[in-house]
Amino acid sequence: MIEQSEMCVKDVKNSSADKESTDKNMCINGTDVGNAADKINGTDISNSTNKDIDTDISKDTNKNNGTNKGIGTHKSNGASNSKDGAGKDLLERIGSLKGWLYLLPAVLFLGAFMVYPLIDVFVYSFEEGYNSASQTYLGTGGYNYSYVLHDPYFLQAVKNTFILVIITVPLSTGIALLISVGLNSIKPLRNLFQTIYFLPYVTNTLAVGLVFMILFKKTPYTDGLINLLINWFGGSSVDFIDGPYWAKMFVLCFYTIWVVMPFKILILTSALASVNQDYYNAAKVDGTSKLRTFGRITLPMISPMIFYLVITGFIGAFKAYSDVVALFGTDLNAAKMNTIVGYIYDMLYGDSGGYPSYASAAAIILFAIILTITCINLLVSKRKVHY
Amino acid sequence: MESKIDYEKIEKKAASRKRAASVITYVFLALWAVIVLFPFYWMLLTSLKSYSAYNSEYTPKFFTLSPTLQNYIDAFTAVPLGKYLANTLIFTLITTAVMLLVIILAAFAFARLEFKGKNLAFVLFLSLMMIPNELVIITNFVTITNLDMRNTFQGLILPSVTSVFYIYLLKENFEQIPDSLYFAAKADGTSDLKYLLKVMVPISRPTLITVTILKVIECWNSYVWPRLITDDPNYYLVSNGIQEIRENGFGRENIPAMMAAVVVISVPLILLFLIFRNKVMAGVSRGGTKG
Amino acid sequence: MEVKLQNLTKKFPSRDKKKQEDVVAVNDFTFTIPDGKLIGLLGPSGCGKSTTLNLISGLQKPTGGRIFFGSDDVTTLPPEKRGIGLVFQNYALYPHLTVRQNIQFPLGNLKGKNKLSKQEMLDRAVSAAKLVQIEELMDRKPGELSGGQQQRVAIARALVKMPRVLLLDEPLSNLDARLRIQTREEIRRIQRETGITTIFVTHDQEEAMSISDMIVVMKEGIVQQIGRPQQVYDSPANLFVAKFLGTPPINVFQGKVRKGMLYIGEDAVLKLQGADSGEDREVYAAVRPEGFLLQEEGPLHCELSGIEVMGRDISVVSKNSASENPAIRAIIGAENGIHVERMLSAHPEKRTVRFALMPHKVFLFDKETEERIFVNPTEQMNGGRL
Repeated sequence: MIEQSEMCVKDVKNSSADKESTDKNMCINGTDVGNAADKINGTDISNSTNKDIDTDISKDTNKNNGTNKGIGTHKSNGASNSKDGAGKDLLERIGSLKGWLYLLPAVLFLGAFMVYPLIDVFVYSFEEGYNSASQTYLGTGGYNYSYVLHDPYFLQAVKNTFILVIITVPLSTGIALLISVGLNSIKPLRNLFQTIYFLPYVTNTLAVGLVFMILFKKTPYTDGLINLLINWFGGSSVDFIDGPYWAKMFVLCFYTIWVVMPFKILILTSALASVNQDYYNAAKVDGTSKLRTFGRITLPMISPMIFYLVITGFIGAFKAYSDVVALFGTDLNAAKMNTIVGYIYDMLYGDSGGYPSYASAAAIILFAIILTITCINLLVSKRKVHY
Repeated sequence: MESKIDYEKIEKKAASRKRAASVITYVFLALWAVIVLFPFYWMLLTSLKSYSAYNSEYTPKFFTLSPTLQNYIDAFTAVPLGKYLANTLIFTLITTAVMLLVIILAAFAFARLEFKGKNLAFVLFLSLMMIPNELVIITNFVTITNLDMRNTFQGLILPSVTSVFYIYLLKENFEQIPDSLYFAAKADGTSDLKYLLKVMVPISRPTLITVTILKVIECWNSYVWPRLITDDPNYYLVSNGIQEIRENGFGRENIPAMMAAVVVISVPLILLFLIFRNKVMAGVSRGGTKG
Repeated sequence: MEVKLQNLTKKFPSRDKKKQEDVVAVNDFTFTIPDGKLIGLLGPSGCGKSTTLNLISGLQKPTGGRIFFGSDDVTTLPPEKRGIGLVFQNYALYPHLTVRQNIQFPLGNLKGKNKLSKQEMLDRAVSAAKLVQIEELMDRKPGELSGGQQQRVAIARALVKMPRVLLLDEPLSNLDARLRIQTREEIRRIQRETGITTIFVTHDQEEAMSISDMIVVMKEGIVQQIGRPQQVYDSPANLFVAKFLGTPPINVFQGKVRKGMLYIGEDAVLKLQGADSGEDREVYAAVRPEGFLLQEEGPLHCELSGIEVMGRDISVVSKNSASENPAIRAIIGAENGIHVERMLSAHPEKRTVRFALMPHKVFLFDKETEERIFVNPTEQMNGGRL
C-alpha cells in the first residue's frame, strides 16, 4: 500500500524496479483511489498521461459496485501483492474472471484452431519421416524443406503462382483503376454498372469457374465459344483447358482477374469519390490537362488505397487455389497448373496425400514468400505514398 | 487580346471533345459489363437448352427457341443437389450464428470490461490477424481427423467460427458507444450481459449486419476446408458438390444439367446481394477481401 | 480588368421532385466591377454569392445573362481560358506536393509558346511567395503549415499565373479570430500591390466592410444593394441590408408616422420633413446602436436591463415594447458610461432610461415591402408623447 498526500501524475513508460514509483497510482488527499486494473483501464480509455480524477473515481465505484473506495488495493502489473484488502482482491479477481469468461469462447476456438496449429505446423515441418497413421516420426531436421524445394511439382507450383501473381496483380489493379475512373466520370447508369461489376464477388468461384471452363474448352462436340470468336478473327482453335501451357495460364489469369475485380473496383471507386472536388476545380481553373490532373493529383491522392489493393492483391494471388480447381479440376499436378496452396493440399490430402510434414514445410515457405513480398511492398509504399 | 471567333472555336472544340470522351467511357464500361455478365448469361442459356440440342450445336447458339426446365429437374434428381444446398444452408447458418455469439462476447470483453492481461490478450489477438489460413489448416486437418470428426458438421463448423478481424471490427464499434450509457445502465442495476444484449448489440446492428453478410458469403463459397474434411457426398457443400458433379455426376458431358446446378447454386447469393446491395457493398469495402 | 455582369441568372432544377419550380440561385444580376478594385460579395449562406463567384470563374455555367472580362465575352468559356485565379474556402492545396510544387503547379500547365523554363517557373513561384511572405516555407508540405500560412500559399498559387481576375471564396472562414483580422489586411495589401481586380465572397459583414472598395449585398439570389461599404452602412436600401450590416446589429422598432412626426410606441421621437401630409403610416424604424444619445429628457423611454462594457465603448442594454429585437443596444462613449453608472447607483429603483436619436442614424422602412422610405428625419425631439 502506498500512501502519498499529493496528486501523482502517472508515468506509463517508466517501468523501473522501484515499485513505489512504477506503480501508476492516483492519490487524492491521502486517499488511494485505483488499483492495478484501474490503472490499465485509465490508460486505455482516456489515452492520456494525465488521468481525469473524476472519471477515475466513477469508474472505480462502478467497477467495484459501490465498495468503499477509501481502501484501495495496489498491485504492480504482473506480480500480485495480496497482503491487504483481501475482500477487494476477491472482487477484483471476480471482475477479472468475468472478462476472461466473455473471452473464453474466442480464446478456446482461436487456441485450438489457430494458435496450436500455428506452433504445430512448425513442429511438423521439422519432423522427418512422419507417419500419419502411427503418428510417429524418425527424427528432426530440415529434410522436409529440402524435399519440397527439390520436388518438381512444387517448383512447377511456385512458377505457376509467380506467373499468376505477376500478371494478374498489376493488370487487375490497372483495369480496375480505369473502370473506376470511368465510373466516377459518369452519372446516368452508374449504379447499374456498379451493381453489375460487383456480381462476381457474390458468386461461387467453383460454380462460375465451370462456366468459364465451358466457354474456353474444346471438346469433340464443339470448339467452345471463345474458339469460335478466335476463328471469326481468323485464328485457329486452341484448347484452353487441356491444351498448351500458355493457353491454360491465359484462362487462369483471365478468370482470376474476373474474380478479383469487384473488390478493387469497389475500393477504388470510393477512394476516387472521396477526393475533394475542390482539388479538381482548382486544377481546372489552372487549365490542367486531364492527364496531368490524373497523374499529379488523383493518383497521389488515392495512392494509399492503390497500395492497399496491391498488397492484398499479392497476398490473395499467392494463395490462389479454388479458381484453379474450378478451371482445371482437382488433379492439378497432372495438368501442370498446380499452385503453392494446391501443392500444400495435395500433400495433405488427396491422391498423393498423407504427408503433413511436407505440407507444413511448403506452407511455411509460402508464408515466408508472402511475408517477404509484403515487406517489400510496405517499404516501397512508404517511399511512394506521400501522406 | 484574342477575338471572339477564337472563343467560339475553343468552346466548340471543348464541347465535342467532352462528348467523345463520354462516348468512349460508356463504351469501355459497357464492354466490361458484358465481360462480367456474359458468363451469367451463358450459364442461364445453357441450362435452358436440352441435352440433345446443346450437343448438336457445334457452333454454340446465343439463344434458344425451345427452353426446357428438364435440366433443373435432372440437377435435383440425378445428383443430390438438394442435399448439397441443405448442407450448405445448415453450415452457413450455424457457423454464422456461433461466430456472432463468439465475436460479440469477445468484443464486449475487449471494449467494455476490465480484466487483468487484457492489453496483452488484445495484442496477441491482433497478431493472429496476420496468420494465413493455409498455415493452420494442416494441423486442423490432422486434429479433426484425430477427433474422428471427418464427415460431420462439427468438423466442418468448428474451425470456421472464429474471425479475429471481425472481433476487431466489432470492438472498434463497441468502443464508440459512450461510457455514460454503460454507467447509466450500471446505476440502474443492469447486468453486463443484459447491457450487452439490450444496448450494445442493437446500437451496433449495422456492423453486425456487415459481419453477417460477409460471413454468409464466405461460408457459401467455402471450398478448401470442406474439401479436406469431407469425402462423403452426404456432407458435401455446394462448392464440393459442383466439383463432384463436374467429375462424376450426370455422365461426363451433360453440360446443360451442370449449368442448371451452377445456376441453382449461384442464385441465392445473387438474390441476397440484389436485396441488400448497399449493405453488402458498404460491408465489403469496410472489411472484405477476395482475391 | 473590368468585369461586367449582365442580367446574370442561374437556376437549378429543384431537388424536390414534386415541385416543378427551379431554385433560382442568382437572379438577374447586372453590375460592372471597375478595374483594379476589391469587391466583397456579402450575404447569409444560401444567398447565391458563391454561385455568383462560380459563374465568374466558369466552374458553373449561367442559365441566362452574360459575363464580360473587359470587352471579351467569357460567358461560355471554360474556366482555364478565362485567366482567373481562384482561392478555395478550404484552400484545396495538394497535400502531397510541397509549397513550391503547389505554387508552381499552374505554371506546369502552360503549353506551346507560353511554356516556361524550370528557372522561370521557379522565379515566378519565388516572387509570388515573396508577395505573400512565405518564401521561407517553400519546402514544407501543406499539412505542416498553419491555417494562415495555407491561406497565403493558396493565394500565391492563384497569383502565380498572373490572372486577370482574382476570386476568393470565403477566404477567412477557416481562420481563427485574430488571424482573420491580420489576414484580411494582408489580402488588402496584396490586392493593392498587384492591382488585380479581386472579388471575394463572405458571410461576415465586418470582413467585407473593412477591406472592400465596394460591397454587394445579396439575399436569396437577388442583389439588395451595391455601394461603398460606408455608403451602404449609412444608407441601407432596405430593412434586410440595414439588419445585415453592423455590429451590434441595428435596433428595429415598430413605428408610426403621423403628421410629420415619427412615433416609437407612444414616444414622438423625431420630426420628419416631407411627411407632413397624408395619412398615418405604420413603419419600421431602425436605429443604429451609435444613434442613441443618453439624455435625461430624451423622448424615447426604455426600460434599462444592464450595461455591457466593451472597452472603448459602453453598450446600454434596455427594453422597449415596440422593439423588434429582444434587447436594444445603444452604444455610448465610455465617458457617458460613468454618468450612467452614477445614475444607476443614485437611483437603483429607477429603471427607465431616456434617449434622444440622431436623425441620420435612423432609417424608416415600409411595413409591407421593407423598402426604405426616404424622408428626412431632421430634428431631435425633446420629450413629447402621444
